[in-house]
Amino acid sequence: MRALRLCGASALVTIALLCLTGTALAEDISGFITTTRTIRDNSRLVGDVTCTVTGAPCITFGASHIDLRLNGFTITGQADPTTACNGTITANEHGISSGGQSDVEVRGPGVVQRFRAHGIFFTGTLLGKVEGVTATTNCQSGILINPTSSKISIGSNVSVRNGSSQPGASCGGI
Amino acid sequence: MTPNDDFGIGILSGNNNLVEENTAMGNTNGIIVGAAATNTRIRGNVVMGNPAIQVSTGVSGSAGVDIWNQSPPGATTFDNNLCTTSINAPCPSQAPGTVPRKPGG
Repeated sequence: MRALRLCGASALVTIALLCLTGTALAEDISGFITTTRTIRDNSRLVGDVTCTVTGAPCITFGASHIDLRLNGFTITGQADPTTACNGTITANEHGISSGGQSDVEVRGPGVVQRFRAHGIFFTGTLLGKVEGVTATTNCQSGILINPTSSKISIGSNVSVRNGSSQPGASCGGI
Repeated sequence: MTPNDDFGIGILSGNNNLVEENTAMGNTNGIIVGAAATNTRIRGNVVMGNPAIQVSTGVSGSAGVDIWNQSPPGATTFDNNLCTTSINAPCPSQAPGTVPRKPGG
């Protein structure tokens, strides 16, 4: 009987360890990001994020078949809160890029704001989803699906005050 | 006058993309479907006030619309979207019954 109990206890410990390992596979993101954060597992925000990455995406997918959950938090780039880029776009400085990975998802609720390029940028991606996200005050587009991306679903998002007020250049909607 | 090239939601190209039940307001353009996009479905979106009135009246040379469809005829389907300005896309009359609503909303 005692041996059985020991066996049971060992099994429970093993299962608990496996569960902990599984949890550790997910990346929790918050705070400051100064170089592009490449996610390779299912990830989520656990706090607001401030990005100071220049000329590159703040967060990019580095693997297929994963998702990024904004979890109700906000990702903020370097554009001005009132005027956004005010006429100056910084190429490739997106909030979130699909990074050419397939079957990736960006899930809200959450806000992607003040990026000096696109808020959310899907490129080279087959199968993907952007759902429940608010994209605002980004210098180019709130959400852009670039050529070579197919079977992308853009649903239940809010896109406000993105883009330019000058042809091909400055921020619009303000 | 050519509309500007930045927007709230853009499908520049690709096949079988779906834009559904989004809200796009105050962007330079609301939704753009690019010339090379095929089998795109745009349905149940609220796309109004693009560009914002401050931009459309205050910036010389600035122009934009709620929905701008650049794809060939038949390449994109539009269903039950709410908009006021568009190029090559329908903006049905804005009777209350035409406002897209989520199921149960």
